[in-house]
Amino acid sequence: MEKTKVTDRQMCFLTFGVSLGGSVLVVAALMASIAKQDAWLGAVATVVLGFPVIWALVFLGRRFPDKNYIECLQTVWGRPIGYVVSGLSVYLWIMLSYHIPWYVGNFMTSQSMPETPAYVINLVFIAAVTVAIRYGLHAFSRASEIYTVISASLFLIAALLIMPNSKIENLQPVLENGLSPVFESAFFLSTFIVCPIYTVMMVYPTEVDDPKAAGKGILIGFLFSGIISFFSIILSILVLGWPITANTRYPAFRLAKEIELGTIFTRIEFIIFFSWILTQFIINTMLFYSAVKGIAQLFRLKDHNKLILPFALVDFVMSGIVFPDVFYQENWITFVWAPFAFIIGAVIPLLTFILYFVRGGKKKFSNSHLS
Amino acid sequence: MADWVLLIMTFAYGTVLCCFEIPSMIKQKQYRELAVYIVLLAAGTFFGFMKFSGKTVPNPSDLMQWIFLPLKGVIQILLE
Repeated sequence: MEKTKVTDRQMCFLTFGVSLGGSVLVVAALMASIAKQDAWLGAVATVVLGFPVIWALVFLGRRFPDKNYIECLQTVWGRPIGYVVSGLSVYLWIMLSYHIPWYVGNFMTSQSMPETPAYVINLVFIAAVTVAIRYGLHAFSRASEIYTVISASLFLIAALLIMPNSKIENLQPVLENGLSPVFESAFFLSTFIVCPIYTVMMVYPTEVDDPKAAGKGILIGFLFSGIISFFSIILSILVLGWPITANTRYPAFRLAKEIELGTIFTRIEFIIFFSWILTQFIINTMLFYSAVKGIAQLFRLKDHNKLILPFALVDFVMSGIVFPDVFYQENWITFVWAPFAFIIGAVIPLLTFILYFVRGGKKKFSNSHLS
Repeated sequence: MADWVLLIMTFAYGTVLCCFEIPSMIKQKQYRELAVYIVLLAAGTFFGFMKFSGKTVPNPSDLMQWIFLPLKGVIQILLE
């Protein structure tokens, strides 16, 4: 059977899903509480500052065309340190792959189905993800094309419908507290939309059809998700004002509740939810896939497909344990997730990039095999 | 759904996986796969048993929180 490859457009959509994944619904609150009415500038700063990180990742992928991210880290960092660095990267995938179902369960139980236990919703979600992984990378990357189109168009519809409610006074005064809160909020947004992108490096150089075009696809996907985050944040501030945005748990969802056109188009906030859950599905599938493949790579296993089913059990059980309550989660995200994701998702790729040149660049690594 | 249903489901899932996958792995002599497989399955079943039988569960998030405690001051500066 001919081996199918991931195309550049699928790569772009996978990057879009991974990058937008956890953030679009929740992050506006954290941003608005730090930068107040200037949070939208933080989104612009994130895209600009995140670009070098993504570019470094794509560069590493181009230089190691037959290695995925874990092998690439182990080659560049050498034996003992490479194991630690790649082990930490895999740990972030494992951890995040049971955080996402927690978010889905928490959203459903708090916003729409309060009687249902969260575990039942998590079970359905994880079952769908597991089935997707069992069908293989190429099946779900093709599915991600459809999902992204639906998700992005639903979001744009919601954005257009909410536009008439915006009040420009909510943005004024611009830069009241100077530039530093803008960059502080950009730090938190970047841990959500820049740092998880290294997940796609499990797919990028080895499984793609045309590495050059796919590399461009990753950059475009990141830009695209930056634009959507920017819109979700600026519209939240324009329509709700920063105090309400900062105190709402799901600002984008709260925002869609404001949509009111005549008497027919009311209470259509669930289009935002539908758009969100599709991106959650893409990110969780990618994280699950990368976690399983990363574990297989760390222990030098030949077949990662065997690990999918036991890992699904770990995911399911842990999805109810990770955060006992919402307060714990908010605290954890600010004080633990932000530094951890920043180290793994931004500092390590950049250090790997620098180390690649320090250790001899193209000359040394052109024919290297995993030592 | 009551917790005991989830408890039974966890054990049933573990047992079914053991019966179906482990013999084929032994036959193909994939011992590394088998070791990782059993560790993952044991971890899942252990945490499931603890959670669904109502005991206090060791939470990996607490461990992470403890590791990143020294950085708390830095983040606090960013938040203000």
